[in-house]
Amino acid sequence: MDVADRAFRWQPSGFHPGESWAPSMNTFFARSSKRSRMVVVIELAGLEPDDLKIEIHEHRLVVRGSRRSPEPDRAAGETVQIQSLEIDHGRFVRWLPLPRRARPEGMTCRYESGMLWIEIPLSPTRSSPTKGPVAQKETFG
Amino acid sequence: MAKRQQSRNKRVARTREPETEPESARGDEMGMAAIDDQQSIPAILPILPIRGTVVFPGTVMPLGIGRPSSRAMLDECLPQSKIIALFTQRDEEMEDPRPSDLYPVGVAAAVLKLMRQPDETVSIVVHGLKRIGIERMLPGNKYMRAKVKVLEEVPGEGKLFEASARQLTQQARQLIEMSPNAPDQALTVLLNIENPAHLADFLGANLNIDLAQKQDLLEQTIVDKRIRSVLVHVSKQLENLKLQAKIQADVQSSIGKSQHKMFLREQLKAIQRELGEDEDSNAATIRDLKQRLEAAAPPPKVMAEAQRDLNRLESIHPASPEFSMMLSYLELIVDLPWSVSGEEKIDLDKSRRILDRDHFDLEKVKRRLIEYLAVRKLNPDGRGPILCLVGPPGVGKTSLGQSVADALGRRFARLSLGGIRDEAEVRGHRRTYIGAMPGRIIQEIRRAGQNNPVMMLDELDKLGSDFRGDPASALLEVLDPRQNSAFVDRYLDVPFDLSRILFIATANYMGNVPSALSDRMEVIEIPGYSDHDKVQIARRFLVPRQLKENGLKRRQCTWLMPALHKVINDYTRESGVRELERQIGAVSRAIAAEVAQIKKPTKRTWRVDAKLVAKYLGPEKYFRELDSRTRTPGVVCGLAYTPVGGELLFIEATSYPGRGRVQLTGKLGDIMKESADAALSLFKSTAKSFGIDPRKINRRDLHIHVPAGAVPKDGPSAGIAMFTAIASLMLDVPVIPKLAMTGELTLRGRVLPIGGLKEKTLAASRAGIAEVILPELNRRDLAEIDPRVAKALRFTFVQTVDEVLEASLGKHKLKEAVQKATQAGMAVRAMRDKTSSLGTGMHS
Repeated sequence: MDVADRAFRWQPSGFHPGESWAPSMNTFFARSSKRSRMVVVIELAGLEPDDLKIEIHEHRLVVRGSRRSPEPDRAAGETVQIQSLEIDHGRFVRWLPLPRRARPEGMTCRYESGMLWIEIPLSPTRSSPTKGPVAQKETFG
Repeated sequence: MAKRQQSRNKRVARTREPETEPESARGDEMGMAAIDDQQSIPAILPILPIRGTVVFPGTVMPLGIGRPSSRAMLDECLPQSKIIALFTQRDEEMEDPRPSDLYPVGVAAAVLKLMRQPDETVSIVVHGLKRIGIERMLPGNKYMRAKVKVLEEVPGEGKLFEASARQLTQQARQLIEMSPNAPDQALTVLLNIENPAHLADFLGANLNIDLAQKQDLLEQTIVDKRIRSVLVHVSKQLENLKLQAKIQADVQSSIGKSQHKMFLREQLKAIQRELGEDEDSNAATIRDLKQRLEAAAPPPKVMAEAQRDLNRLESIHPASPEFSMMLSYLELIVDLPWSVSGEEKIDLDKSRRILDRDHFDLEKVKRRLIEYLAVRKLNPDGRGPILCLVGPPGVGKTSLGQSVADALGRRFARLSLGGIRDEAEVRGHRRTYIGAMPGRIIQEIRRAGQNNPVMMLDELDKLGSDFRGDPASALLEVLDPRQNSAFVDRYLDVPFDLSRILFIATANYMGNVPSALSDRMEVIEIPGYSDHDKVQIARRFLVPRQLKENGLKRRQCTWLMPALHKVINDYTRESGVRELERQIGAVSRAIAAEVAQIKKPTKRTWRVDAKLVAKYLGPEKYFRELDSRTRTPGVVCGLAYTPVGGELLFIEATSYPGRGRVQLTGKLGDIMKESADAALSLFKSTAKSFGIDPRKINRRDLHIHVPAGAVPKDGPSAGIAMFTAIASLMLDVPVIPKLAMTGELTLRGRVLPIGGLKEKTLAASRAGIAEVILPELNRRDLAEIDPRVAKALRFTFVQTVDEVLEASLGKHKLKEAVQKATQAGMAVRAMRDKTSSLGTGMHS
């Protein structure tokens, strides 16, 4: 029996003082002789544009919002029992530190088929683009 | 590890910033009203009683829902709202709790996930949102419902609060770092939490404290106080952990060590079992040693010592090096013949027969041995003498030892001392040294298995000596009959009685034996064999042995006397009989080759005569050269005594015009060179009496050479021979043929006695000398000379060099030569007078 086990009884998931979940995200670097850009796509289906807030805070991309749990419409007098509930809902946040040469002022966003596309131009440089952090999924706020 | 820590810190440092965001974003939470809408806590919430755990705000936790009432509540409420109230039961066991059975403070939580298991139970994942209190229970039959109110926190402020918050972070960090099972993210999460209230909640959720304590933390809305109570828990845990870690480390290290030892020991046992050396066999070994010790019956003192060592052996671990050291020591003790003696059957006639059987002649030695036996018979406890047989190689000294042992009915042990340089070889090494062994004497006694063997110390004169000590000195103790009854070998370390051993040493030349050693021994000289002896030895021993060795039957080959004489005279020149045996062997082999080539069996007998010997052995190796060599003036035959027996020594002198220099060659030793110088000085000083002008000598260089230049020669006994050679040369008179001489010369012309007369006369007769000039003072030694040799030689005893010259050059010839020289000298002087009066100055 390890002594250290006595100090903690670790809870299985982390600590989320604010938001409940974090959506998944893909990140790309695209480069041509003319320009280079960073493309971030976040899987965020079933959102109203009002539910979403995209901001740059201290050179970090922060995407936060809230998603309602999708539920069937109910006819009158109809009762619904939830058999399973897997789709994340409630408040979420996802943030991403940007590479130094990112130019957030040129950022464009597009919400299409449940995917949030964010494109940030990069200033041309010879250094390898892989130097910046690419994808970091943090499950805590 | 440190690296990992570092990288973790880096990540923490990088990700820390956004955490401030919720704080700073708190202000615009109002702006997020639409988003926050979902999270706002309804005033009326269904209550889910939970057991055994407290859900803190901010934690995400799976819960298993087993109670039907809870399931019904979830079924009914979740479709409307995902937010429920979680209250912890006071009593975990209670199946159907009433409101009073719940703690008053709970948490409003969002149900994030729901899964139904096949067995009807439901798993949900809840996310704690806010602390709530029950304001009023609402009626409901299936499940509890209540009007709740969100308990607002009282945020801490001030330096003290900040300090305690910082300390909490620090200690919590330490605690996490000390627990190896902490999830990877735990530290990151901890360091990312900026709000002290959240920090307290995070730790409260994860610390291993009991339910009531957790509930206390949940109920504490004053953040400052909550922080402090968490800090107390964390510090306590930290203290405990440190203490426990220390104890654990101590215990582990001691357990580790002893377990390691145990493990090794087990392995060792297994190996020993494989080797058949396990404890049981050790016990058996010790038992066996005890029995053998009893049987060996050493003297009481030794017995006590050995038994003490045996007891010690039992307590020593068999794997330790000391064990095997002790074991071999004890084995030596039990093996030594403390009380085992060879049975003494002293039968003088039989002993004599055995000695005669094995060796021809050697009358003196045999007589001494028989005397020893006789004394032994009369006084069995008398001390054994220590005999030393001295003689040239091949005369049978070593084999005599074996026959002595046979004659005495004892074991024979032979110790070759040739080349031994280390004193420890004789007396052993102390047991403290690794690889220590008893000395050779004790080893030989152990091998012989009797405490009274005949021990031959062979080649005593070949003992070496270097920085490791002087083995000869170590032998002093062994060979002193008064001391060796308590000989202490260093390895054995207890006295062993050597006094019953019959020591027989052998040496070729006593000159090399330290005087302290020769003093302790009874020296018996064995001179070389005369030709007559050799023929007898060949006939009786060598020929039969060689025939046998070469597979010939006695009747197939007979040796005739002339053949043996021819081999002895023309093919060998030695004191012993080794070369003789080899030559006989060579002839026998040749005959064997012929016998083997004959196809059908034949009764033919090979008669070995002189002709056959010449055929098989080829040209003669040695021949009588005396006549031709001594026929010129300036060549004299001297006699020398060497470790390999007597030797004929030719001394040649020649002169040529020069400036009176002298050259001596032939690898002469210092003593021989000096005697040559003395001879020359004597001749110069007496030159006038021979009618020779000393100045004439000074105008010539003299060269004295002793042939067989590769053999080192030394000693003073060639003095008169040197003088004779110079005189013979200067007077131009050859020495009488077949004449040899020996004797030391003084500067006043007296002749001093010499040693080794027997060997020298033997060599002279072997070489075919007819007359020998000896010092007058050696006349009394004549009795010792072999009668057959004495008969063959004519002896002339001299006192002065004048007598030497008269005897060696012949009275008349000497007189004539002196007269001639005087006349020549006068003529020369007259001539010189004439030329000098002419004033030409031939020698300016």
